[in-house]
Amino acid sequence: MNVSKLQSFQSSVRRPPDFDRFWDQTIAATDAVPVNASFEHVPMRSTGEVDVFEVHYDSYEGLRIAAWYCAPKGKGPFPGMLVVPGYVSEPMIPKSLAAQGYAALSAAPRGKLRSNSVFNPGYPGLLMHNITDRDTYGYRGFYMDAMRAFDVLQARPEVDRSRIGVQGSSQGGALTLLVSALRADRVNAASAGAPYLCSTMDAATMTHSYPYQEINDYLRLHPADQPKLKATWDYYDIHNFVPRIRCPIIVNIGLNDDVCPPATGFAVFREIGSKDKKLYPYEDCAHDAGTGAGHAGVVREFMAAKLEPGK
Amino acid sequence: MTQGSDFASYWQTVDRDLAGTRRSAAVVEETPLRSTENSTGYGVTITSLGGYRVFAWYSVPHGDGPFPAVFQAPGYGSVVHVPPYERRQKYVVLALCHRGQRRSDSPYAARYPGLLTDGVDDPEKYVWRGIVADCLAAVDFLMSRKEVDRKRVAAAGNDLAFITAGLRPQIGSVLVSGELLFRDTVNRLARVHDYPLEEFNDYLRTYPDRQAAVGGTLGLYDPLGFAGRVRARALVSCGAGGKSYAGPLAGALGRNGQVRVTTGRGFTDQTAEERWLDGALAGA
Repeated sequence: MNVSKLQSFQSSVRRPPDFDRFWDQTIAATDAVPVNASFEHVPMRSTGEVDVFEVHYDSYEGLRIAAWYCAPKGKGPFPGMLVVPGYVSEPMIPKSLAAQGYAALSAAPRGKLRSNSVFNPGYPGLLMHNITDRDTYGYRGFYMDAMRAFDVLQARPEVDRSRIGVQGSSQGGALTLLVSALRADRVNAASAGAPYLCSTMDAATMTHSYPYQEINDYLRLHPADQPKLKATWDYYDIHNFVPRIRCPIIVNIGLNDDVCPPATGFAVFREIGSKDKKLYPYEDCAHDAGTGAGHAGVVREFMAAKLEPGK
Repeated sequence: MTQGSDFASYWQTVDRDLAGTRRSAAVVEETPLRSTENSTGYGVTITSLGGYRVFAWYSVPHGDGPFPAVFQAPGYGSVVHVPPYERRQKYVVLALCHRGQRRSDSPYAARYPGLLTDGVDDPEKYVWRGIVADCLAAVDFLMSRKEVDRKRVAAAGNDLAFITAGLRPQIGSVLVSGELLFRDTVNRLARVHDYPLEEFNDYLRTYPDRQAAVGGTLGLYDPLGFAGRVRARALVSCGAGGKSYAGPLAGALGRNGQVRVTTGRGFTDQTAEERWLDGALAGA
């Protein structure tokens, strides 16, 4: 693996002149929707140490979004942890994080099983849903659902607002970067693994693995639409959000990742605005990005140092 | 683990019930969007146990067959990916969405968490009875295809791949990887705190009086119980922590079984597994 070649990759992402206005309007439209968060205790999933809740809240365009919330027994305050999901996986109950002392919320943005009564593009499908139109593209609401999940977590009385982290891998890595950017003044620590949706149109040319392969599949049948996809993606590419990030952050990538090409990971890392940032590139790792080679422990220790769950 | 007459009778009944199901012909529809320059993609709908219709991704390489084939047993989760590009270039690949998973979720939509314990205290009602049958129906479809070289068919996946190889001994090689859901599960639960296996702990904490019933059902699904029926060569890929319970699957196959302890580095491990599969399908 030629690491210097990966590091020298230059993203083709461009920042549209009205990028900030587009997202300011989207966030304003989301803020105009009352959150209406509900927390229903789930005795079957709770234990002697952790309470589990099924969560719902309203988001962009009024869609009802689901999440799981786990809190340690006791009054708190506890550090908060937002867990954002991968592309195909269903968000699992973050009970083990609560057992470590975090009040943890695991979000299921629109299209995930418990949030798909209105919007259900499927998998494959989400990446391409209305991709030729930036205004109705599926990820517009999806991004807002992740951002609002952070707001729901932050509003919990037992959560210490000065100690909230975000973590996830793959699409969860992308959403970690997104939320850390859009809530830059409120996120206190972030860990993004194998980030997806970075230099997206470039990435599709570097791999045949899904989800990016959805773009290749589409362009094989509709090659003339390439400029439209590029135009949409300049508004959605995580690359354009990360300069806003200010919190301490770690990013891990696999140098042989066939799903999220590592070159795009190097490129997005360079753009992260935080001064306290560290990249962990793992040799001989693919989309696992070192999780089984020690990085799970790195994340645990990083978050414990920044958020002090035992405090 | 149940290996006696109850075990044999249970699975004999599943197979008999599947055979007795009035199975309309599989619907095979070309899906140009999921084709590649070297393979043609299809969506397949197959009738399984109880008349349930399940979907599968199906891919056939261009050129003159018959081709070696891979049955990708479904993992735990709502989504089944289109088969990997690299496999589609070389093999006929069938990736099944079992009942409850997306594309096979009508009338039954699985819940996550929840799928592992749906009906677990009664083996006749356990949803995995139908799921295993779905795998068998899928392999039956694969074996019926003229483009498939029936002497070179592999199964790949977790427990379901091994179980399917036990119930369909025509399968010549089996690659077992990923988290095993049913191998020695009851004895592992005290050490497990993460989902999906945590579903069993949740269930037993809620219904402690059902411990014996749950144990009885899970014993019927322990892949080790199928080892005596497996005729395939097998590679069991597992982490160091999983060797104690995954390893016996390979051990029970004698010379046909091999354990590979993963390095924790995904590229290295995936490459080794694919090479093994290539070798198994080339040499069968």
